[in-house]
Amino acid sequence: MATETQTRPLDLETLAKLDFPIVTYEVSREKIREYAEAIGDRNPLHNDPVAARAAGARDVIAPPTFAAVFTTRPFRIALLDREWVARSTIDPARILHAEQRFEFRRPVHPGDRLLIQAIVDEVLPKERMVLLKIATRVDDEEGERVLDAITTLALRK
Amino acid sequence: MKVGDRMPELRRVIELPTLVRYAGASGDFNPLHYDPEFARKAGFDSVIGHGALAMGLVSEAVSDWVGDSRQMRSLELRFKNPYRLGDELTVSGEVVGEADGCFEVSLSCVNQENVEIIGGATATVAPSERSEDG
Repeated sequence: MATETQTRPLDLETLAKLDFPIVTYEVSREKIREYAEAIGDRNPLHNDPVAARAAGARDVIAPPTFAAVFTTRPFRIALLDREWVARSTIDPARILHAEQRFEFRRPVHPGDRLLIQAIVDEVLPKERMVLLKIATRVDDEEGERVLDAITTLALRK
Repeated sequence: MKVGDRMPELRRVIELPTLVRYAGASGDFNPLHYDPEFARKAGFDSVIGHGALAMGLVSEAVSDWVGDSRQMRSLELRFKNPYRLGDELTVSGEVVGEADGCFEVSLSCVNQENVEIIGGATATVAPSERSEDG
């Protein structure tokens, strides 16, 4: 990850046209368990398939905010590509998460193969930063919508 | 659940292992969250916590209260201020409205000095019943 200050200033037109890779993400029981442990959520619906089935689910249920793990993938993967970063005018060291919105359409379970597509929704220049709103849609293999997310990143000048 | 109901507070102290564990679980390995030198170069006095971890705590507080995370239909929030190692985060919330059969819960997350870490936060929560599930 770049630690030097970017020489090229943020370019609004470039930001508005940013493209992100389309990502597939396969949900696993262990990743859900790890996530629930990391936030300290001990509800058995997230780690005990028997308890989850007793509650009418087909398998354990991901905590809703597990969505942050996969909805950020397109942007995160783009940031690993030096050419993409150079082209984007973004300095990875100066990105902050400013706002988040999720609309949950159905629960996420192990075995779900999710298709994650992100586009730039809006670029809002502010005095000391540029707000980059990324709209992310997540569908399952059958093409059913799983959730929608709007992630607003603050790109500090 | 009815308008005016307050949910029980959720409190969590954030230490370096909390952040390292979250980095591993989430795949967010931004050094801002574990490397003090990197954090200083980025303009902070030391490492700061993942906004998404605080968001996870906010969501967890709601799920703990209603009993089943499937009841949460939407969540929106703003990351207002960074939090630091040793901070104790407190999540609180109150039912402020009812629309389309769902309850609107207004939420906040502050540290021990009452600095707002997450604000402008609202969750919509469906009433307690078994959710449809695929």
